Amino acid sequence: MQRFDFEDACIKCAICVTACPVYRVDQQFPGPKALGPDWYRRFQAGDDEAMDHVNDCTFCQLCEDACPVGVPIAHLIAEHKQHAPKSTRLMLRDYLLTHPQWLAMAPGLVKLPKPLGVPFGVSATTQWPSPSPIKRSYRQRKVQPDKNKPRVGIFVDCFTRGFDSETLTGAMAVLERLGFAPVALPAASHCCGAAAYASGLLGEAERTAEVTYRALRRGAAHLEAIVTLNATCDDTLRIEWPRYFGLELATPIVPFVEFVLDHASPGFFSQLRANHQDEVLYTHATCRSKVARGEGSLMSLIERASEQMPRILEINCCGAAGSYAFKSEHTEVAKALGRRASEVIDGPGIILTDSGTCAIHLEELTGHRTLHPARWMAAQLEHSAVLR
Amino acid sequence: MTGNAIVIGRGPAGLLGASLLRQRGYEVTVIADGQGTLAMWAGDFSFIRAPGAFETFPIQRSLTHWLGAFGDVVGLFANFGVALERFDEKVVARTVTATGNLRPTFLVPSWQYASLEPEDLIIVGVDGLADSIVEAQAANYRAQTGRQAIEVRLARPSGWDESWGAIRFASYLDTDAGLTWLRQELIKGLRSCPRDLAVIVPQIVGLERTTYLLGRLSEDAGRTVREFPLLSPSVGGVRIRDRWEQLLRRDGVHFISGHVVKVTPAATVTTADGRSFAGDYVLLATGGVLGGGARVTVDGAIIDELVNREIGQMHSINDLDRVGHDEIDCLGSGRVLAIGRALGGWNPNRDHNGGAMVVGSVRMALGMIEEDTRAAL
Repeated sequence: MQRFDFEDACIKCAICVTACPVYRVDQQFPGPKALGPDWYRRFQAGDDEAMDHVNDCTFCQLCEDACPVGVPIAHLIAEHKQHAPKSTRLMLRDYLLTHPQWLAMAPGLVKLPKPLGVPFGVSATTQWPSPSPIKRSYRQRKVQPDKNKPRVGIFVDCFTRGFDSETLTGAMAVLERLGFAPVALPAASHCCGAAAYASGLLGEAERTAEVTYRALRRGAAHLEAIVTLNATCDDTLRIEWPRYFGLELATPIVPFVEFVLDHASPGFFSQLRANHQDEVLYTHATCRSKVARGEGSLMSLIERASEQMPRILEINCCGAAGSYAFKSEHTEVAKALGRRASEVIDGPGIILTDSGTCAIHLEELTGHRTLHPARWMAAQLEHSAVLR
Repeated sequence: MTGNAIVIGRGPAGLLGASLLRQRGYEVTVIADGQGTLAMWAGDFSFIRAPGAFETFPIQRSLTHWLGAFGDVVGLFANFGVALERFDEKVVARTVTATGNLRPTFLVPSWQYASLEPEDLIIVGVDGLADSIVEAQAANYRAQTGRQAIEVRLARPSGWDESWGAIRFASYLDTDAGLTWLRQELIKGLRSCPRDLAVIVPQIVGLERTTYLLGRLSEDAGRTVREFPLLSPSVGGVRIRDRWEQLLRRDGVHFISGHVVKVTPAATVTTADGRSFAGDYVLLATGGVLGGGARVTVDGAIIDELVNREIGQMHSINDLDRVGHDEIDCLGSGRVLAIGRALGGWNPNRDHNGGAMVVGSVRMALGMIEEDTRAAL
């Protein structure tokens, strides 16, 4: 059992239940209070039987954010998941899905026919991403970083590495424009451990984190900051590594959105605004971004970067939740959550979101172009349209 | 007057403060560490020790003044689609609680039942909804009012299991299957009941399409169907919270998630993860779920969240009733103001008038800001 603070502090107010997106759409889901603190008290008393549906939690952590007394609800549910019985084939599937760093090394695997995954519980209908068209191009760049400029790292998360290198090159272009010398790290494909933690594979999450920590520490020594592109990885590196695994990097971890807000000049924003945009811009801060930092930062950034007033996509969780939507037993809930997004968009729009998996999920369910703000900003700077 | 304002906390006081500041042209950032207490409040504004209770309110105002203040709230709530019914100063309306008591009120959401005089009622209970014990509720209502209360019980829906609370029922009723279940059960249940009585149902009639659903049910029943509030978490409060926050976001209010560890008299705010924010004014809406700005630690110490000092020991839940602030705890410069429950000896835990507390203190803080801005000119 991990060391928690306030794990037994539940006052049974059930505000967490009112914040849970899955509870609203899945009538069998017992909700965060029952699966987290209520289960934990029984567990402490010696009853380690898991409840049905515990694995239907997306680990979005909105419950934890809502809790007035700081109970680590989602993390107690992750503990609970460890006790849920699972068939060998689902264990195999989850083991693979919770190592996205492997998929990032061989993204072409997603092109295999979908029916192959069905016997292993992989969703036959959830949209898979396409491998990055310009994979590894960021490593082929021959230009040495300018020694006179402050160096910042960009944490290349698994999704970006395997499927969205345009976002990485976009982020690098933006940071260069802001006067920094960006470095992509770590050099090889490593995962922060979030996917394993979300699936209740806590030991695996810790081992994965330790390996990545060592890889990052080597490259991060002389960096001003490590900029993250994915909100879940951001929260995992900055908050969960030190809190649950005792892994603390000396370099500050900063979400891309906030880094730009902190360092961009008014001139930079007027360059972005110069490229006229017809579509309405919707911002969707992912759940983990809402929990750790709040959705206001992404909104502030796009307000400054766009001549039109952006709108917040009025949904809680889109249902993608990392590997959640790729598991066949979650397809329906993931779609029910994501469909709410299409209900709130009433015209041509582009959705900007700080997670690659949320982006493909939202794009599939809404039919609207969905991309990372870094990629959108880079396109604005180049005066190019963001094409399909 | 324009400038930047920071509101700490996103309960009723925080959201009201943010709304009124935004209306006055401020750029508003709401920083909060939790969801806030709106889900624990059904949405009625009351002075429970009526009549004349308002006279003992720490902010001395006439009832006419209070009703005027509530009038502003009516306009605000209408902006996000919640109609509030207001009663004038000559009468005291009463709403019925889940235990069958009458609660005096001045303002209720239109989905909630209230009447000027106690009347004969049909009270609906739902099997499998733990908060609604219709026999006890009806018996108490009869004892309290001397009026008739006809009990009607609805069978639980087919997908029901033990995890179903009010929020689950409400989500279910937002689906067509849920509406069909409630319509069929209600028509069946009301078949042998007199036609001219109002019907009250537990507060489970949807989170998103409540007005539509109650309209359909009233049509089916041939009588007015309204809700009575249940224990928290309150479906009514969640409806208000979700709509209110959505309106604020649309109006350009920025929501930041973080635990505030430092507020200075110069109106700067620092969070535990090291972010800092600066405004012209800071509103501390940090009352907290336990009320009175109090947090109870594991060892039973009651901590004043506003100034982070121990103000007592809790041995039983009633001890919270004795805890409150003796003075308005601003940080000296007039740029940091406390709103919500943490104010002047006021104790909504004891007096059940948190709604009035919120409205009164937020309006007072806004008045102080206006004065401060005028003085600066």
